[in-house]
Amino acid sequence: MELEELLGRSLHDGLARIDVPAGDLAAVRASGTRLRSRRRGAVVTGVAVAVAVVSVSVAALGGDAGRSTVPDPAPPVTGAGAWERLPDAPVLARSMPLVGWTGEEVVVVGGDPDPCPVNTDCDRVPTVARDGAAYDVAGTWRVIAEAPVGMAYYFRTTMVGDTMVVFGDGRWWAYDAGDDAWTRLPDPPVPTVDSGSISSADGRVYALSSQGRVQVLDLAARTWSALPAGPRPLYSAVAVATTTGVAVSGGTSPRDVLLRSTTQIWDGSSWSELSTRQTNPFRHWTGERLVELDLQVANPDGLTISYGGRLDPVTGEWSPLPDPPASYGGDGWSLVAADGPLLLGWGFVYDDRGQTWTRVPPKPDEAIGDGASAVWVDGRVVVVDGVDPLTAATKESPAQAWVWAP
Amino acid sequence: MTDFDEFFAVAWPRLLRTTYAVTGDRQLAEDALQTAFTKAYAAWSRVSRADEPIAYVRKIALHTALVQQRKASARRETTVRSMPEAPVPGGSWPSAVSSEDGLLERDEVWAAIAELPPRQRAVVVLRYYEDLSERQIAETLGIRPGTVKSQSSAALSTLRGLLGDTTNPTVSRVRGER
Repeated sequence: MELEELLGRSLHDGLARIDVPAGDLAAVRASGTRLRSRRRGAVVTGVAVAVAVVSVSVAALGGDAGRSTVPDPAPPVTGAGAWERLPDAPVLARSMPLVGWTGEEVVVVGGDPDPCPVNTDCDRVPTVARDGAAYDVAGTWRVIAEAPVGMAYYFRTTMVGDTMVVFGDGRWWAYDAGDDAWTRLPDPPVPTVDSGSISSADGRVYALSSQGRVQVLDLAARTWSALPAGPRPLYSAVAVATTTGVAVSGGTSPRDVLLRSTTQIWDGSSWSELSTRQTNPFRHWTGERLVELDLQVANPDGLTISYGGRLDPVTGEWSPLPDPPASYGGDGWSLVAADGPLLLGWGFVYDDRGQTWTRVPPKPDEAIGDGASAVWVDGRVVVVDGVDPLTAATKESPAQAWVWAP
Repeated sequence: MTDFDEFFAVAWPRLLRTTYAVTGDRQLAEDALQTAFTKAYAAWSRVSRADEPIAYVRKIALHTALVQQRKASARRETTVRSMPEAPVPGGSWPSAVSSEDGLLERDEVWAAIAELPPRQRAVVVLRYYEDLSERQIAETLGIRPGTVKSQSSAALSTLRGLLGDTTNPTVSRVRGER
């Protein structure tokens, strides 16, 4: 008997013989009703302050001050063709919040609720939000536990299952969406470089230390370890988790950074090194290749140098991005997100499987903010809009959310 | 009986078997499924409009179960067994091993599945019990289709190594003739 047939028979026959206990429908209905009430309460409470402020303005204009600003009904995360508005988040709008996808919920936290207007001097100390919210695939928001510290736009995040791991200002944090709780993670043996990215795969988080070594956080065990040193130090290096380990790319010298990048690949047992005619380090692993989405091209010394490109670490084959669009395709929103073969940036979605480009639809007229954050949700893009720094009223409005299916 | 009641009655047994096969823990499976159905009920007006409401519940249940299992493992808890024992006829949740020829062979298969890492086990159960496609498995587990393919390949390779001659047609036939 073939193995696959044997597996099918064994599972079907074995599980069919089990007399499973009946489910407790009454308990499901009762807890489901409570959950529904809690969610409605959370949404209404979460936007209450914003609604109160907005309603004063509306009343002054002779509008319906009692009308809720929460769209109804709440649609699921679906969209096609154009941006579709989701229910507003139960938190105030903010610029560049941290976002992540747990597999069940979009987690939104932190950001700057009062950004400095573009092209102006700001003397004030930047504000950083600690609050956040989570959007369920079924179409509802909930307010999440407040972060222990402000989560600034420049903090680095990566998702490990339903946990958002955050690094910023020298400290590591974890938000467990299932437990709705924040915890501080142990510090790595050597401090993490503040300007670097963090990346994860299979429950491990990879980050570069200030000494250029890759340090690995086992989130379940909450312990750190270090990989052996790479072949040589790299400048402006970025570490990206791959299927078998990690790739670190950067320049071998300050001048080298302007001409090419070198990628060091850890396959789980040893390092190898590849050189590419690409200036940027790689920031994304598609599952098959390293890809850097950047449409710019430079011509130093008569050479044509790509900023972006794609590298197959198995064959060592590098190529510039295929048939890149001639110009930036965005229209008002600067969105960056990547998941698997799909990379969003420069106003396009680049799909590395078919090497195709899809233009992102224009920002909806209703979307008013700068500093929107984006995340991929099962092949769709969910955007949490920012805040218009020049319009005081919008700073006190709920954060908008939008979805688009390429 | 409402639409949800009917859905619950039909989907609960099937999904409980699936969740149990993936987690190997009866209580964990029941709790995860209870959580998933609770969420489905809370959002039933929307979930019921989906093409496959059962896919929503399956996804939430497995996600919840696997996350809880990972957390339990991280806490070094020993109360959560890593794998199910082989089912026996009529047993609510089995513990004994049958000596019946066919079942013995299946018990060996069950034990081999039990050796797989959680995600590979989930891929195997969803593929060979739920008969889902690679794309559906990817959507259920929140991973890429390519990852499903690689996990499935790794799982089958491991199972072949563990089962050895069990999957050899000659040996299988001989056992069946005893």
